[in-house]
Amino acid sequence: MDVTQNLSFIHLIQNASALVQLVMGLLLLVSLMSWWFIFLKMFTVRQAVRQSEEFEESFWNNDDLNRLYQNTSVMRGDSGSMGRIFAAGFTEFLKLKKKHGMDNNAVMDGTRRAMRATYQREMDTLESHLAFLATVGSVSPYVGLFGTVWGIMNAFRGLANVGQATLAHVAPGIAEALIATAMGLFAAIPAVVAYNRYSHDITRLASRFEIFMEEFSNVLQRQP
Amino acid sequence: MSTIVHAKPYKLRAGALALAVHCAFFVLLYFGASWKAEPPQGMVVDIWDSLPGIETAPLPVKVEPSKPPIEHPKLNKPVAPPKADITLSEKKRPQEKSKPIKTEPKQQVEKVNVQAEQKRQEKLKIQTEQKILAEQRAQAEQKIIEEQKVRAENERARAEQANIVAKIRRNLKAELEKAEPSKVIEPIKSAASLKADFELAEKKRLQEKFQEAVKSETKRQIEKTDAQSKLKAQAEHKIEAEQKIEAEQKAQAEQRALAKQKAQAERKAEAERKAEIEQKAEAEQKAEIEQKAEAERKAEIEQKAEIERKMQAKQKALAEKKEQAEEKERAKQRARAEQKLLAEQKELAEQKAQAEQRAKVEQERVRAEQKAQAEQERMRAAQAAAIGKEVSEYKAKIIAKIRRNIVMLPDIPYNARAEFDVTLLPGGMVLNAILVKPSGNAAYDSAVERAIKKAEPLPLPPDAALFNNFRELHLKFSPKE
Repeated sequence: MDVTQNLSFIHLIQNASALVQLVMGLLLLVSLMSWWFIFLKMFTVRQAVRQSEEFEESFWNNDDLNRLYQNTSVMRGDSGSMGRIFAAGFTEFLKLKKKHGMDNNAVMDGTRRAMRATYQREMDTLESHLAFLATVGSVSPYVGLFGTVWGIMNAFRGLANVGQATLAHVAPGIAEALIATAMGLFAAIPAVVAYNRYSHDITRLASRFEIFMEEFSNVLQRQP
Repeated sequence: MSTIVHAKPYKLRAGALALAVHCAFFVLLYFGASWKAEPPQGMVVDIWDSLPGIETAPLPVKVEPSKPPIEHPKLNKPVAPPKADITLSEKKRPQEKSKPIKTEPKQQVEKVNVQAEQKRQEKLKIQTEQKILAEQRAQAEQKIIEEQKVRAENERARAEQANIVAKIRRNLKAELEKAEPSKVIEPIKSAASLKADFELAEKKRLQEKFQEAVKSETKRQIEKTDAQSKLKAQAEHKIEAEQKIEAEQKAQAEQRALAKQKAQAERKAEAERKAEIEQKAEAEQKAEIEQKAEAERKAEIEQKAEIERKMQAKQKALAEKKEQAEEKERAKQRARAEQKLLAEQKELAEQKAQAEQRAKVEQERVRAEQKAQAEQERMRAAQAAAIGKEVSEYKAKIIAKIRRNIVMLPDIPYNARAEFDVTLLPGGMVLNAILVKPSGNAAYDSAVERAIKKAEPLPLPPDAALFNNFRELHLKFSPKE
């Protein structure tokens, strides 16, 4: 009973050496942050997809671009990334049209540039923290492994001081060292999965935005 | 900024969810670890719970009689009750409460019986102890008696020893008293008498010794006389024997001398005969040796003569051979010299012929080279022409391809003319397209630039060696053409 009690999770963490505890604390922090970003990205990406779907629907169903523009600029916050791209492009287009003697191509180029700038900004916000998830996914197993190696090293060093070496001398040390690896894996696995999932989602969103930009510039070019 | 503002509620939610996930994970881990740690404990409790419940129900009477003997010691000894029994009893209280009335009388009867037995046993124990005590007492008394006896015996022995010692002392004293006068001067009378006794005894001993010595001397003398008589007789016998031996020896010596003389005479005679015979033999041998020596000398002389003749013949033959060989060598040398002369003449002739041939070949080569150079020049000229043709052809193709890609806009002046410096990469890709002379219309310039990029890959001749001509192109575009 005593042995099993000593091997309980909290006991093991308490008995671990300072460096291993530090590694475990770091991994816990990293895990917390990565989970935070995972949920954050989940919500934002889902919202972006939903908003762009809604906006595309309203864009293709609405013939009057001016009304759509007013709608989007009024409810600017909720229009989503695609709405913001549309608003930026249309604002620039209107401004350039007001200037007389401007080449139609020049107007279109200006509109395109404005939309591309907004597109880049949106992509940047969407892709934020993905690099963190990738780093966590690739590095935290090594950090955990480092903690484990350190713990096992200490366990064996303790074993060297004991005259008669038994498994009972090493087992707790190895167990507490292995917790570091477990924590590293716990931080890494969801991060990797989330990174792959969200990078795929964001690439799809990006291609969607680009298609919209091309179509919208076509529509603008047809404008009188 | 707007995105960040709108992400704030999500941030809070996401943070809460992350915390929740970790809490859930830790709870899972903790319970997992404790679940694994618990089983041995739980197993023990389960076994104790299940087994009595099954056994007590069918066999309540049989099980319990065995318990009172276990429980009665508790009454006598209330100090050590096993813990397991407490747990059992606690758990079985409800069961036991239902059946206390049946069990109590039996227990009382048994208690009485047991108490009686215990009393009997105690009595028995007391009796046995008394017996043992009595035996021990008897043994102790016997021991005491024996010890007393031993003591009496020891006392007796001591008394005897004391008596003996006293006797010994007395005797010793008497002896000492008797013996002391010889050493001490106090009682003079006894000493004098003792001295007299000693002297008498010594005198007696001396007399006895003297008599014995006299007797032995007489005996020796008698024996000596006997021995002398015997020796005398033996000497006489010896003298007689010696005389006899001397006489015999003399006779023998005389006989030996005679024999020696005879033998000497015979030896002398034999020696003389032998000397004569030897002299004769020596003379004969000498004669034979002389004859042999003469014959040998003659043979040697003859052999020497024959050898000299043979040597002379050989020398003559050698000289002849030498002369012949010299003549042959001279002939050979002459022949060689002639051959050498001939060979040299031939070589000179051949060298001359070779030199002539070489000159001819060289002349031919020079002619051929001149021809080849001329041909090559012609070919080069032809190639250069072909290259020029190809280069111009492909330049035209490139321009055509780019022009095909120019998207013409409606409001471009007719005489606009844009010039580009295009840098190409092998494979026809465009590295750079620099506007050297703008046409004045930005739309046309950008349209041409886009067209250049769109026309990739530009057509290039299949011969890679010609690419150097296309590395940098100067192209002119105008909407006229």
